[in-house]
Amino acid sequence: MNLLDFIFRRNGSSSSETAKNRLKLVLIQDRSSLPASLLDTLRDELLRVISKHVKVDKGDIEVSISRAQNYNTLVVNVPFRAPKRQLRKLATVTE
Amino acid sequence: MGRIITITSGKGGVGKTTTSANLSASLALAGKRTIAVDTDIGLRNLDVVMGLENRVVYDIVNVAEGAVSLEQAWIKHKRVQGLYMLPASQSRNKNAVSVNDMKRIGQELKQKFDYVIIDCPAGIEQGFQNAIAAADEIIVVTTPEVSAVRDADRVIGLLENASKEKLQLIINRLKPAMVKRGEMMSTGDVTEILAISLLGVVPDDEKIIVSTNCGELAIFNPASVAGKAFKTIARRLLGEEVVAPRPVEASVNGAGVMNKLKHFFFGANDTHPA
Ligand SMILES: Nc1ncnc2c1ncn2[C@@H]1O[C@H](COP(=O)(O)OP(=O)(O)OP(=O)(O)O)[C@@H](O)[C@H]1O
Ligand SMILES: [Mg+2]
Repeated sequence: MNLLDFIFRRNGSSSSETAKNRLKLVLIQDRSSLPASLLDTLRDELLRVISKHVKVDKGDIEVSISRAQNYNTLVVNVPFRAPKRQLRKLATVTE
Repeated sequence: MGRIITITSGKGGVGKTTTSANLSASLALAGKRTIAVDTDIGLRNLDVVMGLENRVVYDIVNVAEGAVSLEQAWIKHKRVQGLYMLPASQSRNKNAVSVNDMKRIGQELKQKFDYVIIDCPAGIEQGFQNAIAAADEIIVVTTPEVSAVRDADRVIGLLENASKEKLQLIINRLKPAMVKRGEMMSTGDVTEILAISLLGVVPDDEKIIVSTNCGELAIFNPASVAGKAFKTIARRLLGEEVVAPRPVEASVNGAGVMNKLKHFFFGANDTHPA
């Protein structure tokens, strides 16, 4: 940047910088975009694995993606009752 | 065995056909037997850009269907020795050619030409899949605008998923004077975002329209800065190391009094096209 550029560039930011920043933001989303069916598939498969060990209801599992500047996080929320074995034990106690 | 290079972009109207035509002719002028293939079925354009529209008889769909041979369908350019063009069909739709047809046609052309330049349609559907199917290398064309760069990024993602490894970028229609004023993204801005290797930069050039009006190619117009850039890019494809020429004078013309003044005080700018 030379002197006149500097003088004529009001408040230091230019439309090309705006373009670049907007692009960077939109590309973070574009690049992380996952097929819509993926979350469903993940939910089904997680349910299958987790229910081997604890009792869960399909409707209780929440699967989502949380986006941050530089990375994405897969957030899985699985409320469950108790390990299967304990449930069985408890059942025998109450009988 | 020749090289198959597909010219693609995602977004429409950024200069794929212009690039395909001018690079093909430059390669032929360099002594390489070259064929430009129009895969934009239903929206044929390469024929008019190359000035060959009156000579189209058969097209790529006829070849794919096995009705005619490649030799019957391709058109030999009269002015440029070693330059050929295979037209797209204007009346059929994109599904008239399959990925397998394209692979087969590509393989055959590779035996017969040093360079096969495939002009891809806009978009990421069947036509795009066809155009990249046989490609050894890909050139992604973009302009320095938000929507074009975004689409280029999407296409690059798809190409990487399709295991296309040799990807290079051409930035078309750059306006150095606007870049200098901070009103257009620079070459550096675009390459930083797309992160693939830069093959060249083509300045925006009114003379392109004059060329297409007449079915002439920009590379034959000595006054065309875009034509010059395409020739430089062709030399790079041929493996030469070509540095960017001096800043394009045309970029300073018509850029307003202030810029002329700046140009006068501070000399040529450093936003080199090509
Ligand atoms: N460097 C340039 N300077 C000025 N005009 C240009 C330049 N490159 C291309 N154009 C113009 O832009 C328009 C679109 O170019 P072209 O047809 O090559 O794009 P395309 O990507 O093939 O479009 P489509 O997606 O519709 O196939 C044309 O009018 C062409 O003359
Ligand atoms: Mg085109």
